[in-house]
Amino acid sequence: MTEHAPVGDTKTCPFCAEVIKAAAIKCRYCQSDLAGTDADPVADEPATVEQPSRAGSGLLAGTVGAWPLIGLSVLALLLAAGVGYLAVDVSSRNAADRAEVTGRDAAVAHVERILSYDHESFEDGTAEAKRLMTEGFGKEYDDTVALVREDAVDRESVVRAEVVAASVVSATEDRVEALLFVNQTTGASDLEEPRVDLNRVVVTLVPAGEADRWLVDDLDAL
Amino acid sequence: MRRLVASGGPRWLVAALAVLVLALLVTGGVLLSQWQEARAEDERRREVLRAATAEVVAFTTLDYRDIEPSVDRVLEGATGDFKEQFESSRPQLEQLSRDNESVSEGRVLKAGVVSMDEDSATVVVVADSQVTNKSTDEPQPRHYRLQLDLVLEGDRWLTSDLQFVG
Repeated sequence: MTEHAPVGDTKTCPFCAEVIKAAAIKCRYCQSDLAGTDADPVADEPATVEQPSRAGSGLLAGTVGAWPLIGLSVLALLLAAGVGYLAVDVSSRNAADRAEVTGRDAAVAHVERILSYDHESFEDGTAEAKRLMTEGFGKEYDDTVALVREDAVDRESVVRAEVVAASVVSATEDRVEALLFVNQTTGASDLEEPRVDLNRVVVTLVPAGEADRWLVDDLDAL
Repeated sequence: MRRLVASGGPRWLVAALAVLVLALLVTGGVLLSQWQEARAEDERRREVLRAATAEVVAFTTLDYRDIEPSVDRVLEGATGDFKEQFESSRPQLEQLSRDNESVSEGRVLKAGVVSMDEDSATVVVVADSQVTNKSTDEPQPRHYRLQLDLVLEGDRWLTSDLQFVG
């Protein structure tokens, strides 16, 4: 044992483990070429630089081969891509769930407002209703209002719309389609009793730009 | 050999990458379960609307010349109180439709979900039907506003309540 331990100006051949002269560039036992190998770690300056032995970081000190690094990097990238896809999908799904709630509430409030009118405040009422619509649907609404106005004033109509059931057909963060049952009660000078119409209304809403606010983009009675 | 080792990296980098991979796995696991839950909810919604639509078509469609299968189709998708009520009114319904020579053909125009959880749902359905009987020359249109309660029994959504919304 002591015979083989490197002492003084000797080192251990990395190939055959025999003790040889520190300056040897060829092992005298096994004839191995020693130039450029790290037969003696103490004499190996670059290795000492690459292995800073910080106190308490034994596990993290030292170097490893390229393959574990490449493998882990590829794995991390693939996982990051998967997590990114799921995160986008889950967050848009959460937004859709929220849209289903806020969109339905908006559908009820907007439809009751739009389908109600009073001959005494006809202009104010329709102007207010128009603020709940997109520009496109607003134009359609103008055409309807033009047809109804004269009749409403002549007959002194008062129409109240009440949503009696509200459901969602489909909901995404960009568009909500709601199906509502609307009872429209009409009072007019030529009616002895108010008339009730049982309507079935499909309304499409799009975001107004502000959080949780919606505008009516389409409204159809079935 | 020394070259390849040198082109690797310090061990702490490997440890850091391992921690990153672990964190991504945990995050991914959480997101994956949320994603699966969302998919299950979408599927549930489709199943609920499909079942409600089929039940309303069955409910608004009957033919006095073939009345028993017409009634059976309604009962097939029914459960609970609704099934009991419909079953108990079966004799009168069959007699009435034979007497009047009623034929009704229903179709669903639209259906939406009012509320829904894992095993119950409330749905509203818009349906129309064309009705003929011996007192009508032309088919008469009927318009319906219906609200249905459905429950999940086994792997089927069955209607436990069906109401006309006035």
